[in-house]
Amino acid sequence: MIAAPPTTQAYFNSRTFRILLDSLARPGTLGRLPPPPQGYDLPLLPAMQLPNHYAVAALLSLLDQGTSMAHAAGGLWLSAEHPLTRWFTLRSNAQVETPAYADYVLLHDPASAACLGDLKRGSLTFPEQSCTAFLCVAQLDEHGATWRLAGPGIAGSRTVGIPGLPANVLSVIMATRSDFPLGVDIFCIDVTGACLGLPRTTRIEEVCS
Amino acid sequence: MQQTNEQLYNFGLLDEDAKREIRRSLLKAVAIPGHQIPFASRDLPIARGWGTGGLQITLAIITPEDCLKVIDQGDDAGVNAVNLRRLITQTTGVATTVDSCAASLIQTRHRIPEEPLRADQILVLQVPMVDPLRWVEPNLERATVMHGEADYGRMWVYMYESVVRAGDLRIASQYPVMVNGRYMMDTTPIPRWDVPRLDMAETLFLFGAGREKRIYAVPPHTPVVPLQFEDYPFRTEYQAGQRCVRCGAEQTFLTSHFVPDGAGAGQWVTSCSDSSFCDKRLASAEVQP
Repeated sequence: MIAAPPTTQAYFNSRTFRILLDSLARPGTLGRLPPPPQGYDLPLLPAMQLPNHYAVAALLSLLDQGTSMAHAAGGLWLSAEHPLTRWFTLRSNAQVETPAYADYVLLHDPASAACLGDLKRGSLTFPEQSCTAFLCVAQLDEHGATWRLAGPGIAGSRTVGIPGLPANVLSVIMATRSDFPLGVDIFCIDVTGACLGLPRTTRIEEVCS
Repeated sequence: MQQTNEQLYNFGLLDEDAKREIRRSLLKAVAIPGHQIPFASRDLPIARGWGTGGLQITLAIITPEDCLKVIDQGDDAGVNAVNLRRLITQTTGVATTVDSCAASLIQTRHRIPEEPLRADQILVLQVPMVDPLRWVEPNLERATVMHGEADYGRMWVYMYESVVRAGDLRIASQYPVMVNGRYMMDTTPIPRWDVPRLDMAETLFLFGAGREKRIYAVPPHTPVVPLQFEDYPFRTEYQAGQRCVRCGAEQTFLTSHFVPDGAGAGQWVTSCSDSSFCDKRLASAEVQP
């Protein structure tokens, strides 16, 4: 028997998944997402409104007809008629869902992190029925020190630099995970494809400078 | 003609939708250490109960760059290991190895390799029995609610009763542990010897149960504490004076087997369960006697 090599898209999805899995298993250690394959023809929008294409590709690698999604820009949820929403559903077959019920969300900018409080956190019996959020940030720095992280996957504690976040982001994130095992799992992805996993088990505190 | 037909299989046998579903479950499993995530266990050319849970995880996460090791009871040449390895390599074409240090992905039944695993490796375990509460609550729905409420009192009573009846924590394998102080998890099917090696490890452990359709995980650097009492602490199978007859190792998990002497009698001998580790020790001993 001869094994068929994976298609470009399937190969990209498997590489991306391994990075996502590793980032989530080791919060604070940045993963490097592979560049999206050809064919990510983002819709014609003003450049300012285009989301981070690494985050878009990572989200699409997990979406299919069995999942639902929502997305927000500038702190506001985008409607089902938004050209980018149509672009997503056309390529993934995912359902567009109200944020409180969506399985996956894309937050186009750090300002939209305030929307994390709207998302589903699962139930005690089924904590896995919670949202996974992809948060686009400008820059992630493994050697920086904005946040100090501790919890499973981290030996002791680690610091990570995320410059340019709004002041209230940390309190919004910690509020979503105040009631373990309920919570929202977050991937922060920057414009170079660096990926920071923040599972609900990660305790985050501001580094005092 | 034969070849054309077989090329119609997707890379890794499973279709991309199935892989995505398993991948989504794996991400949630890592985010909630020790919690059992239901997943849609697919039919495979191997019967359920023969490692299909681990196999589905392996097929969903494998990439062409991976180097694969498959073991059964620590042995690379076990029937189950040979068949699973053949299926995975024929549908993916990945390289395989018996060396635990050279593998990037290790699928295992019943053992964690003796050599310490690294951060860049993933260990996939085939799970026969998922729920430690099965012993005290056979109803799956009620057991799920008990996990949700961290209601583990009856399990402690079970442990206490086993001490009262047998004078010891009489659990050979599938020893129950608390993961990250929250979820009770079955370490099925590894022996007690390997249980402490889950605690604060460097490696990511993924558990797949195909028959029971559950996935769970222990991320690296996560506390995994066996259930025990102050006066009846958890113990591994270690016995003073134990020794492998092949390589002479004293600090490994040993299995015993009967060696007949041809005259109708014979004797029991013990050797390393991890055959690749044992072979490595033998080879280095032959080079440097």
